[in-house]
Amino acid sequence: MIGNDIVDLRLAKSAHRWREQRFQEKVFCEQEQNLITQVSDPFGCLWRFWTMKESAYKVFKQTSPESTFSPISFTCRLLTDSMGMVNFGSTQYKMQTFSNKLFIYSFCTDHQSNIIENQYFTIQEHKTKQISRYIYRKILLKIADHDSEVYKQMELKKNEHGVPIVYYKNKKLPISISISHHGHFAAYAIAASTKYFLTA
Amino acid sequence: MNNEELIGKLKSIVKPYIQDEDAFANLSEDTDFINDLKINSANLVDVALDVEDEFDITIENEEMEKMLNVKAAIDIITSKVS
Repeated sequence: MIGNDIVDLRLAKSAHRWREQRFQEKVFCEQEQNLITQVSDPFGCLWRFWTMKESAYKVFKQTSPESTFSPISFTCRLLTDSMGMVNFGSTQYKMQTFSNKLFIYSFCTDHQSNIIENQYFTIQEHKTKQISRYIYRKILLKIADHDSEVYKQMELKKNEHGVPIVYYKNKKLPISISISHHGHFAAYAIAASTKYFLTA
Repeated sequence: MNNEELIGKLKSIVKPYIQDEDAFANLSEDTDFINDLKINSANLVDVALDVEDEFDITIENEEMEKMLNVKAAIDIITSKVS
C-alpha cells in the first residue's frame, strides 16, 4: 500500500487556523508541538508533520477502510531534511519528504509494497470535479503505459470509503493508489505488492 | 435550538471550506463532509475549532475524528449545549 500527501504552502498559510495553539493541540503530540516551536521554520515543520501523518493514514486506511483519521495518533520523527518516521500503534512508516517554498510533499509505503511511480504537479483547473478527472486520467495513462487501447478499458473509482481503485476490463488491479490535491498542487503515487512483482 | 437552526449555523461554518457547491446547496443531515462537500482533512480541524467557538463548547479529539458528516456534528453539538 502507498500513501502520499501534498500541501500548497501559500494556501496553507491563509486557509487554516494552524497558528493557534488549539489547532496544534488537536493535531500534534507534545513532542511534535515542542519541535514546532523550536525550529527556525515552525510553519514548514508543522505542515511537514501534517503531510507525514496524512500519508501514513492513507496507507493504513487501505487495509482498515472503516477507520477514521486521528492525526494526533500518528507520531512523527524527523531523521534528515527528507527522511522521517511515523509511528502508529505498533506500525512504523518510513517517510520521504520533498519541499520547497511552494509546497511540501510526503509519501510512504508499507513493507509489502514497491513504488511504481509517484509524481507531483501544478494544477490549473479550479473545479474539484475537473481536477479529479485530470488526475485520474494522468494515473490511468501511466498505468496503461500510454497505450490508448489499454487506457480505454481502464477505470479509476473511489470505493465507498474513499479509497481509489483501478479496474482493467472491469477487474480490480492489484495495485495501490494514493491521490492528493491541495490548492495549486496535486500528486499521485502508485505501488504494487512485492508478491505481485514476483508473479508478474 | 432546533435542528433546522443548528444546520443553518453549521452551514455557515463549513461554507469557507467546501469544494462542491452542488452538495453544499443541497446540504442535509445526511451530507458527508469529505465525500459530498469535499472538505479536506486539515480543514476538518478548522471546522472543529469554528464549531467550538460558535457554540462555546470543547470538542475532544475522539469526537473530532467522528465529526465527518452533518448528523454526527449535530449529535456532538446537541450533547454539549444544554
